[in-house]
Amino acid sequence: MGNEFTFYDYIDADGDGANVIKDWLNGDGKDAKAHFTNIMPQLEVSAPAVWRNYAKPMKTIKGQKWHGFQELRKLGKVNYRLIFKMEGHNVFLVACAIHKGQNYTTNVSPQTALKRVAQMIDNPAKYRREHEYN
Amino acid sequence: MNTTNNKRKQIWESLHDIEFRKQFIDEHISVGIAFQIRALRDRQKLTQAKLAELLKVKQPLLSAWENPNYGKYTLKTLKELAKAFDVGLLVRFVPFSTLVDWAINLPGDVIAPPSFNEEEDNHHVALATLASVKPSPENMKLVVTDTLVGFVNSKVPGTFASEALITEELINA
Repeated sequence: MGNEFTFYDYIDADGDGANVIKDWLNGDGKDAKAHFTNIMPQLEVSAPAVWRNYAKPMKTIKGQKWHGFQELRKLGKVNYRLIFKMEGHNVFLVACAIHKGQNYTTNVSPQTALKRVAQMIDNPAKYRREHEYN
Repeated sequence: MNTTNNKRKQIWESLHDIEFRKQFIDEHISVGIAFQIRALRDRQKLTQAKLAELLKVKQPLLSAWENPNYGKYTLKTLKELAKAFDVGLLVRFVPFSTLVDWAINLPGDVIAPPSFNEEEDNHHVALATLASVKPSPENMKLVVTDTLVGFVNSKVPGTFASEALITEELINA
């Protein structure tokens, strides 16, 4: 079976050129990296019906609506979330979040996340890279 | 493009961090088993309720087993699941390179392997025999008979065609 879906990381090409998803997974999201490293290859070869089990729609967070976004979750004492938007079979990872009790921190706003998705679609060579596992 | 080989190299690089290595062991099981249960249930067309009934557990527990955040499987649970699905179960210590391969190389039959009966139906045994026999009229008759027995049994649920019956039909044909 070939891949049905492909994950892409957002590249901050207008800033320091960093892969913001990879940086988060090696920084604040370090304790969730092994979880996402295992779940993404599974989802890449999964049918859409399976995605519905594991990718949850984003809701309103601190008054900000994340309409159209979904998240992968690593749940525990601290919850880690990878936020993405799907366009066809492309999965654009654009934001990350940590959630502990009532404290919810995301590294970007929904508006910035939407802008990132548009950049990844309009200029793939500059703003996106297939997910990097290191 | 991030080929399988690139993914392998990248994950290997991450494994240099011992904390990641430890978590990778846990997560490979938690995520892998959750996806396998869901995929096997789909392949065998079982609802959560039906599988829960077969295993004599409550449906919410089965639902939890399909959640990659669950991670509390016991060997007893895994053995019961293997029996319910009629598939094999491997629990082995392996090198990390093997674990990485299993994490990223995921053809359908790896995620949801065929049950014993499905393997039979797919004529694996007959095809293996075909590959090993020298062509002769008698050998070919045996192979064709094996194949037809498998075919009839796969197409007519609840029946078990015997070799004698198939042979008789062949002679009459």
